[in-house]
Amino acid sequence: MTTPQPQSPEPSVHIDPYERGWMIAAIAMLVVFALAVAVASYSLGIQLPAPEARVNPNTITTSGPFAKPGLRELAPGRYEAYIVAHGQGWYFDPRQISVPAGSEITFYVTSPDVQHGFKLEGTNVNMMVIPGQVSTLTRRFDTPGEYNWVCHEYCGTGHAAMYGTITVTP
Amino acid sequence: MTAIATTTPVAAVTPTAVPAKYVLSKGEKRFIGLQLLFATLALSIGSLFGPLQALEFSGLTIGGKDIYALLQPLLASYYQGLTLHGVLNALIWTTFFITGFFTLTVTYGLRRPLAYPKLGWLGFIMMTLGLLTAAVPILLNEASVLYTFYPPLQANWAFYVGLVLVVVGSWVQGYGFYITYYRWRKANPGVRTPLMAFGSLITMVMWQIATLGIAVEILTQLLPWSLGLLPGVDPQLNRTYFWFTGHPLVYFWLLPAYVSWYAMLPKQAGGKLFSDSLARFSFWMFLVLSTPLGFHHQFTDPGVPTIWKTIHAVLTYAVAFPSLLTAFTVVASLEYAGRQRGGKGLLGWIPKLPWSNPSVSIQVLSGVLFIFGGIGGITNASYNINLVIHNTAWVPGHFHLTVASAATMTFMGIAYWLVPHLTGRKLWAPKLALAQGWIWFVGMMIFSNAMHTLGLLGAPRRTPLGIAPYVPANWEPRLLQTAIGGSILFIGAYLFVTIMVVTVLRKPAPAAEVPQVPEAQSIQDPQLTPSWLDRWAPWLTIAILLIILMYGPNLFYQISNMQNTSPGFKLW
Amino acid sequence: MKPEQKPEHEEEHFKPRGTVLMMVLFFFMIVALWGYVYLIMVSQGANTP
Repeated sequence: MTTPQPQSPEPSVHIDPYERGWMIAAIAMLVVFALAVAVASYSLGIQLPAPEARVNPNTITTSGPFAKPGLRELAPGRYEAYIVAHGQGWYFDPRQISVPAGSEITFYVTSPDVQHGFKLEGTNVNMMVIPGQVSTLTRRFDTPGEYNWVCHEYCGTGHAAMYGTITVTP
Repeated sequence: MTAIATTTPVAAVTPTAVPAKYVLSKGEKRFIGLQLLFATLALSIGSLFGPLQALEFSGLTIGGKDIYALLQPLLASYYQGLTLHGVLNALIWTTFFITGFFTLTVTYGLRRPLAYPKLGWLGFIMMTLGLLTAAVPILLNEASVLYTFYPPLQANWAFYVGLVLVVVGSWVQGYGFYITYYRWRKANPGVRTPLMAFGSLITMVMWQIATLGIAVEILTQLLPWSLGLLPGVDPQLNRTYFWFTGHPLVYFWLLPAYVSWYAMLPKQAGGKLFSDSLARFSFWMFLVLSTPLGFHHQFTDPGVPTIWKTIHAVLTYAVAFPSLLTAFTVVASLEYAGRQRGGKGLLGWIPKLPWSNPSVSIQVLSGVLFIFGGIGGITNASYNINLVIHNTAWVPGHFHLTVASAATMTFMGIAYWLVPHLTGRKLWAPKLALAQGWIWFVGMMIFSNAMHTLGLLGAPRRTPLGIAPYVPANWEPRLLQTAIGGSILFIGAYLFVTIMVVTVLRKPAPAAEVPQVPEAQSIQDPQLTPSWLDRWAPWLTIAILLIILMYGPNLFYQISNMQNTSPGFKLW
Repeated sequence: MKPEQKPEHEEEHFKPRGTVLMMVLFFFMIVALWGYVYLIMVSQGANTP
C-alpha cells in the first residue's frame, strides 16, 4: 500500500454476542470430544496401527515369517497370526484361523503385490495392508463365534471375494 | 503504475466508489460458459455409473445376468465404471466448474476483466487436453485404478500425464486471477477485497499449495514408474503424497460453495451477509488449516507414526471450526433475509425464504445435507473412532453429503442463474428446476443414510456387494435402499442436465428478464473489517510454516527411507 | 456496492435468535450422532499395535 495509514485506530472485529457464544460452544464441544477420544485410547486401550517393520514385498513369500503364514501359539492363549494378502488370486493366506475363547492374537499382515485392507467385523481391528510395510494389531477374543475379516481396499477384479474367518471356540 | 496517484483519497477508511456492477464481455461469457459446459458434460457421463453401482448392490439380475455382464463389452467392469464415476464427478465436474465460476467471481467482484485472458484460455486448454489424455486409457480399461490411483496398481502413463495437465492447467488459470488481483490492489489501496473475489482467490492459492503433493507423487514416482524408468515405487510414501493433496481437495470443492453462500445467497434470499469479518476470517482459516493434516486419511496406515496421526487429528478438529462458524453466519444471514421478508417469531423466517427460487432452495437443501456431512466428518477425524468406519461404505456415504451435496447442489444452484446470465436466456422450467433440487435432496437422504448404516454394519467400500460372498442378511435391506437412493439421484442428475441444455437452446430473453449476478451486501461495511483480514503475507506465511512443521519431519523421514520395491500390477 | 455510512438501526440490532435455536439443535445432533459412533467404538473393544 502506498497511501499513508489513516489516523483513526484500526477497527476491531465486531462479533455478534450470539455468534461468539456459538464459537465458544463449538470449541468446548471439540475439546470434550478430544478428551473422550484420549480416554478411549489410553484408558480403554483402543489404538491405531503403528509402524512395525519394513519388508521387501518381492521376497516375503519366500523368506521370513510370511513365507509360512498362519497361526502360531506362543504360549497358552497367546497367538501370532501371520497373514498374507494376495491380490493375485484375491485371497488371504490363511483364510481361516481358530482359537479358543479368551485367547489374544497379534495379527501381522502384509502383501507381496498391491494395497489391501483388513477389517475384522465387530472389532476395532481395521488396518491398511501396504506392500513394504507390516500392519499389526493385538486383540483378545472372549466371545465364541465366527468372525469374518474383509479386504476393504480395491485390489483388482476379485476384490469382492476376498475375506477370511476367525473361529473362536468355546 | 502512475494511475494510483490520481484516484486514491488519503484520509481515513473512506473507500473509493465501487461501480454498481460489471458487465461481462462476450468473450468472458463464452469462456465461463465453456468451462461450465465441460463440467456439465463430465457430470452427465460420470453420473451414468452411479445408478449402475447402486443397482449392483441390490443384486439386480436380468435374465440371470448381473448388469455388468450385460454391459460387456461396452463397460469392462464395476471398477472401470467406478473409476469413470470418481474421476468425472469428483475431479472434472468440480475443477472445471470451479475455474469457470471463479472467472466470474474475480472479474465481477473486482469489476475488471482478467489482466491476461489468454492465460485463462491456456489453462483451460491444458485442462481439456489433460482430460482427453486421461480419458483414453480410462475408456480402454487401462486405468481402472479409481480416482485415488494408489500404487502398486499401475495405470497407463497417459492417465498420470492427463491428471498432471488438468492440475497444472488449473494453476495457470489461477495465475491469471492473481495478476488481475495484484493490479486491482495497486489501483485500490486500502479498499477491502470484494468478498466474492476474496474467497475465490484464497481457494486458488490454497489449491496451488495443496496440489504440490500429487504433483510430486506423479512426477517423481508414478509417471517415471509407468514409463519403465523406475523399477519400483514406495506405496506408503505415495499415499502420504496423495493425502497431502487429498484433504485440501475437499476444501477446493467446498470453498466455492462457501463463496456462493456468503457472497451471493444472502442477496438471493432477500437479505444481507450477517458478518463480513467472520466470513473473511473463515476463509483465512481454511488457507492455513486445509493442508497440514492429511494423516487423518491415514489413521490405519502402518507406516505413519502415532505421534503424527495424533497431531493431525488435533489440527483436523481445528479445521472443523471455520465450517461450524460458517453454519452460524450463513443461517443468520438467511434468518435476516426471512425477517426482511416478513417472518415473525423464532422460526417464522424459514417459510418466508424464497423457496420458489430454484437457486435458493437447492442451496439451502444442500446446507441441510451438509449438516450430516459435517457431523460425519468430525466423526471420521476422531482418531480411534476412525477404526469403526475406515474404508467402509460409511465413507462414500459421507462424501456424497459433502462434494455431491454441499458442493454439487450449490454448483447446480449457481448454474440456475449463471447459465441464464451468460447466455441471455431465461431458465427453462423453473418449477422443474425446483423439483430437481428436492429430488436430489430426497435421493441423497435415502442413499447416504443407507451407506452410513451399511458402513456401521461393517460393509466395505469400493466393493460390488451384490456379488460378495460374505454379505449377511442384515445388510440386504440397506443394499436395496442404496439402489433406490442412487436411482433417484440419477433422475436428479439428468433433470439438471436437461434443464441446462434446453435453457441454452431457447431463444434469447429480453434483457430485463435475464438474471443479474447476485452480489450480497453485508450488514456491516467491509471497510470496517480490520486490514489484517485483508493482508496476505501473514496468513500465507503461517500456512506455509504450518505445512513445513506438520509434514516436514515425517516426509523427510519417509523420503530418506524410501524403498522403491513395488513393481506395477494390473489386476483388473 | 454502496458503502453503508449509517447502518440502519434494525440491522445493527438484528438478533439472530432463530439461528441460535438452529445451532442448539445442530449441537445436540452432533453430540448424539458422534456419541453413537463413539459408543460403537467402545463396544467393539480394545486393540493395541
